[in-house]
Formats: sequence, structure tokens, C-alpha cells
Amino acid sequence: MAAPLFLLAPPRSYTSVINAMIGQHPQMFGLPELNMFNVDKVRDLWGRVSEEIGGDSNRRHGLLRSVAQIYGGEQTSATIVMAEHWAAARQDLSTGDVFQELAAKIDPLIAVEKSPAYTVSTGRLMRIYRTFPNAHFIHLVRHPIPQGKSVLNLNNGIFAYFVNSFDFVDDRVIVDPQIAWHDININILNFLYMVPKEQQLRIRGEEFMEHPRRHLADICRWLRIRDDDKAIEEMMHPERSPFACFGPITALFGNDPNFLRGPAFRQHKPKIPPFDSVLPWRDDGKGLRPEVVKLAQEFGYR
Amino acid sequence: MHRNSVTGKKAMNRNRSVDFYEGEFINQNKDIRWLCRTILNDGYAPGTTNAPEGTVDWLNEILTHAGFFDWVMAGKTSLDLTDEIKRLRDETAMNRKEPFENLAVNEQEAIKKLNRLTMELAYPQETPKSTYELTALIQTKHGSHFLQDYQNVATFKQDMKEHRSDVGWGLLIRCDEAKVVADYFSVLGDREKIGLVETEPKSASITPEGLNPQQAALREAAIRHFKSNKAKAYISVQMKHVNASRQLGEEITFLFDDDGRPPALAPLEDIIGERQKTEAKIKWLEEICAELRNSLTKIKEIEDSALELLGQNLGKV
Repeated sequence: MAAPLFLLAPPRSYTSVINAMIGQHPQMFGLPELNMFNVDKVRDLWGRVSEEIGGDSNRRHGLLRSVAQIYGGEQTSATIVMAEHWAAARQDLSTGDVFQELAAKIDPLIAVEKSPAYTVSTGRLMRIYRTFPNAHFIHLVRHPIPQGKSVLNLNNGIFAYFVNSFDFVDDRVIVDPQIAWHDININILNFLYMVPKEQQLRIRGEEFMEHPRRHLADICRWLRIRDDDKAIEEMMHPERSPFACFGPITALFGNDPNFLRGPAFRQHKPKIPPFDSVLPWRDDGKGLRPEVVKLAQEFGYR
Repeated sequence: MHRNSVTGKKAMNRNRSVDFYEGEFINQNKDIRWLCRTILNDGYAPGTTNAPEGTVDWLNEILTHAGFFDWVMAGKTSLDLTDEIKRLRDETAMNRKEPFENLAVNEQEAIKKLNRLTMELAYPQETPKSTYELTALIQTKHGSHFLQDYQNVATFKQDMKEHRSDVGWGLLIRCDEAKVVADYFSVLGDREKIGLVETEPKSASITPEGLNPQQAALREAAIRHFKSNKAKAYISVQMKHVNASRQLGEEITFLFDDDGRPPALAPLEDIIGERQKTEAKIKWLEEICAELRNSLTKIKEIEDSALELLGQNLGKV
């Protein structure tokens, strides 16, 4: 069984569309966000993360839709019920074992998955590696300023609060997503330190958006799968994925709702702001921190 | 590697009891009199106390008051109780009906801890946070294990980093809650973060390690502000729905295509079917709840009678 491919990135870094594109390769299988490695046991996916964080049931939608599609051949209310039973029967198993079972079921296709929630903790990332020591990892990066703006635009910036992206200035606190951008990327780098170099690849999301075919071909060669025109053409159509739409009423999501509503790929050249820009989310005129600039430069931003 | 080669210092001189002591007010920039005054201004009537008001002794006397928890709950109904407080509330439910001096030492401590944690929750600006021990379980690269105390997360991390070549992994445990608050694995990279707290909070209601009291209060205020904005927005939307229920559709328009059709995988028949099924389940649950309430009432009556009889019999003895 071929080890899966995981996309590692902070949220709002083009992960949804790129994951779906790679998943459309004839030798790959693009999964929705499974969120399985967030927890140890399958049953923990049914528990609350905390009393503060809502929307817990949504994080199971990806798994339910995957099981419905893989075992039932379709995503309907009936197959979602089947998927719930399937998961209930495995509630005492580790999430790693169950992920392996799914990967074996779709073999010889190679699973590709991205759940941005994995990257908030090296513990979650280590669960992936313990389960799949041969897994491949793409570290997807995006410039900190547009990524931060995007984070704050999503659901009133709840993610920044969730990951404690706070800057304390004198007697006040500023919600500053550049901290999360930095520390989540550091989580990824600290994790990738233990992964052999040949199993990891870094891609700047903006360049992928501008030159998708070139990057897709590079990814195919790195994964040692077909890189012919036909395969690349298939990858240019993420909207053809069975998960690139809303699911049945009992498992609607499993991905970013914006992507689910409009999953087609739109090739474009994203604007990259200069490092000395004033941050739009700060009212004190401050810009990016030196550590953030340094890391962005390390990622190749100029 | 020997235990002594790790330089973590024994934590500060901690008071293992939950009693207040002056040092923690000084260390955490709190004022004893301010806390006493705030409690009294809220209307708490402590009755006759042995200790003078505005002192640590007075506060420690309040901790022994069995009715303090219920008084706070009656006045601050929106408090979001921690798991620890809920556990202590249930554990002390019976004992809080008894005179404090009649209880065993461990039962007294449980009530004092409940009151202390409740005070910290109800008056976070005025009450110093209880101190607790941080102990790390460390595995060396040779496979042996040992325990080591630390003052805070920062000293743990610094120590681990300095001994990277000897340490396999370390888990820093907050002893009062038996929770891992930080970890270290030498197989991982050790690049520094810039955030003051970890990116993975176990719960947003728990103040993460790494913040001083002022920062913790600011963080809490920011989260409360965020939540109140969300609640306001939710209420505002609900009010619109009350005024015109058809506006409900506007909130979920993203699910529908430009012609107003639901998603292909969620046809209207399924939506109606799911609604009917959910309504039926709610009816079932309501009936089950009603049945459970009846059972509970009966069980409580039996329990009260049994305890009353037991009390009478003990009295005879």
C-alpha cells in the first residue's frame, strides 16, 4: 500500500483547491478534511473539543462522506447513516489504524489529505508520522499578510482566537494573525525536521496559482506517478472530485464552504504585498515582526 | 544522564493547602482588601467572623463557609464552571449541608477548594490564581525515566533544549489537574516560536501556561468580547427571524445555487425527511427526559427518606 500524501499548511493557504487538484490525478484519491489525527481514538471525534469551540459535528463530515463514497459508492443520507455505523464499529480503534484501513481500501490509489487543524500541534503531526512513516508531505506556504487577512475574514477571525494569536501591548491585547502564521509554520518545520528530506516538498501557494501545470508536474515526478498531459489535465479540474460540493444534509461539509460552493480552479497571479506594509488588522501602524519577515524570506518571499 | 544534570529548580515555596497567603497577592499584583471589599459589595453576608475584614484570615474563613458557593451561583448565573469546580460541586453536595467543623479534614479541604476556585472564577481580576506544581516526566536517550519539578513552562523548555543531546522526550504535567501542559521531543526541530502560548489550547476556558496575570486577564477579555459579539450577532439574526421567518433562508443561501436549488447530494426530499426524523427524535428524547425526571423525583424522595431514617437511628445510638 502506498503511503498517503499530506498537505501541511496554516488555514487559508490554498489547501482546499490544491488538495482537490492533486486528488484528481488518475493514481491519487483526494479525501476531504478527515481531522482524524487531531485525536487518538475514533470515538474522540465524537466528543467535544471544549465547551468553548462550537461546530464539533462539522469536523466529522469529511470522514462520514469519505466512508459513504468509498464503501457505499455514493454520498446520500442512507450511506451517511451507514458511515456512522461504520465509525461506531471502530470507535475503540486508533485513528491511525482506521486511516490505514481507508488507505488500504482505496489502494492502489494514493490518498491525499489536508486538515489544517493538524498543524496547530506537533503532537498531531507526529500521529501522522507514526502511522505512516513513509508518507509524503507538502508544506504549502502563503505570504503572511494575505493569509492573515483571510484568517480574520473567516467567521470573525475565530481561528486566531483559538490558537492564541495575541499580541500584548502595554495594557491591551491585539489579535494578530501573523503570530499564528509564524508559529504554525514553525510547528510544521519542527515536525519536518524528523522527516527524511526526500519525503517533503515546499510550495509557495501564490506560485502554484500562477503556474499550476508546472507545479503539478513537479509534484507528480516527486511522487513518481504519471506526469503526462492527460494526467495533468485531469488535475486541473478539482470540481470533478466527488467531495467538491456540499454533501448530504447530514454531512454537508468536510471542507471550506467557499470551496464547496465554487470548487473550480481559477488560474491567477496573486498580489504579494511588500514586507514593510502596514498591517490592515492593526490600529497602531505596526508591520510584520522581524521573525515573521525572516521566516517568509526563508520561504522565498521577497 | 543523571537527574542532577537537569537544572530545573524546585518550584516556588508552594502552599499545598488552598488557603490564601499574602505572598501570592504580592506576586500576582492583587490587593487583599480589594478582594474582600468586592465580595462584600456584591452583597455577601458572612455573619460573625473571627478574623477582621480585609485580611487573609478573613478570606480563609470565607473559604470554610459551606454556603459561599451557592451564594455565588445565585448571583452570577452566567458563570462558566470549570470541570474541576463541577466535580467539587457534586462531590461536596451533601457535605455542604453539614456543619463545617463536623467534617473530616479531606471533606473540609474539598469545600475550601471549591470556594477558592469559585472565587477565582467569579472575581478573576481580584483573586490570585492558586499555585500548583509542575512536574516533568523525562525519558533519557538511554531509556531511563525520572521526574523533575519546574517553575514554569519556559524553564522546562529551556532545560530540555540545553540537554537536547541527553533527553529523549519530556512531558510537563500540571499536578493539580494531572494534565500535560507542555511537551518536548528531541527528534523534532527546536526552532523558536514567537507566541506567548502554545497554538493548541485544550480549551479556551483554561488560561494557557506562559501568561502573566495581566496578560491572562487581557486574553480572557478579548475572548469574552469576541463571544459577546458573536452572541449579539446571533441574537440580532434571531430577531430578524422572529420578524420575518422567511429571512432564515438568507443565512444559508450559500448552500443553494443561483436558481435556488439545494445541493445535488441533499435533495429537498432528504431535507424534509431529515427534519421529520429529527422532530421524531426530539419527541422521543422529550418523553425519555420526562420519564427520567419522574424517576429522579421518586429516587430523591426515597433517598431523603432513607437519610432521614438513618439520621434518626444515629440519633438514637
